[in-house]
Amino acid sequence: MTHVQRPPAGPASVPTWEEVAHTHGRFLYSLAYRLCGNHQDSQDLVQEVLLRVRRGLANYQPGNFEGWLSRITTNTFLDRVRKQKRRPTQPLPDDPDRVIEGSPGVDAELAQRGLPDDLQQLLDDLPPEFRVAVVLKDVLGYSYEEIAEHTGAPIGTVRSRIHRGRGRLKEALSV
Amino acid sequence: MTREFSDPAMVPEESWEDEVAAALAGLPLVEPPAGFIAEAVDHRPLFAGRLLVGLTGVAMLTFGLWYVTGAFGRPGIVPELRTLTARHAAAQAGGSEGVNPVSSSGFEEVAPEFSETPLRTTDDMDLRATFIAESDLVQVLYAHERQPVSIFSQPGRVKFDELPEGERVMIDGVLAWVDPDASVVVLETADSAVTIVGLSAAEVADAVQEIPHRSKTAGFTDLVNSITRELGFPDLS
Repeated sequence: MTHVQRPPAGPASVPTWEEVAHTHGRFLYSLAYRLCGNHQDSQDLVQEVLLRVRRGLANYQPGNFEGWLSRITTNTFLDRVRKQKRRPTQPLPDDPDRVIEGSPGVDAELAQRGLPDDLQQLLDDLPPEFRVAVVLKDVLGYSYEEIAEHTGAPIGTVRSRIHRGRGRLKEALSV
Repeated sequence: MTREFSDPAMVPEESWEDEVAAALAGLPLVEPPAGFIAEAVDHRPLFAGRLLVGLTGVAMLTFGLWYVTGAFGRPGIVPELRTLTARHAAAQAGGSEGVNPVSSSGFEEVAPEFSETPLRTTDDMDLRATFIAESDLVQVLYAHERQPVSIFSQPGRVKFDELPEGERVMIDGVLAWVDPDASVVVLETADSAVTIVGLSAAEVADAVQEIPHRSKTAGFTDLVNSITRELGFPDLS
């Protein structure tokens, strides 16, 4: 059961950005931290997200509010990565359907490595596109369809990124 | 156990993936630093606001020295916004007729009172070593990543009533006029009229909303210090 709960469904009326910050601030920050891996970048990301939220609230149509916030956060994160080039983007492997051989005891391995900091470090080592897909799927619990809608990537690509992202995590944990 | 997808493009889920997913799902909530959300809500200047405050600080520090050197009693002026905007465009294009670019090393000879102009602000605004000094008009060109921003200064007091339609705001105690559509901000610092050109409309609009309104209670040096302190510049007092 994830501890990073998706916020409750949004209200019928459009909230103010202050209400968004108060109600969803912790969710946004935790998501930002899982994507950025450190507090300084997380704070910058959340501030930029809140800025975009405020710009976008005027045109927001009541609906899946949490999805809207998550989409803004992930898109803002990817925009920052591309713009600032803080971390080199790793090219996608040529063999996208490569299946990682299974090995037992990932949970046990994780337990021995002092979670959660080590796992966060492994997340940080994933390419940003992989990280976004894995975090949305496994930390927030979104469906493949929702992630495809969030990121604008085909669902097959989303699935492939998650598969390879998980595979890299498992590989790192199994070393 | 392998989970198959109806979409043939989908890679089937392997059993080991469940273990990784379960570990990730167990990651705890990461709490923001104490007061972070409250500060964000309390109209703490966001990036655009910090950018504008930063530029204001640069302008205050730079042109404040001009003030100290004796720019008292200047007449009221209305910055020629169209001309300044054109000069900004010309400068970012690498200079043009009527513009006199000077390297940073030679700037001191042209306008020694501006020698303290910082080469880089904490907002990562880089001085692009393009200065234009012509009569009483001085231009400093900064760039944030690829976004150029010009700071113009003219001796005199701004005739705010004669500026085109725009919005008046207080930026850290300094009266300013903002035209979000034209990406132009006019400030009055001591007896200098400072015009900032190049902030995007959204950044200006956001800055207007983010920067808290304050009353001007401090003296000029205190005012400069209050702004430049955010930039890490030395105290002028």
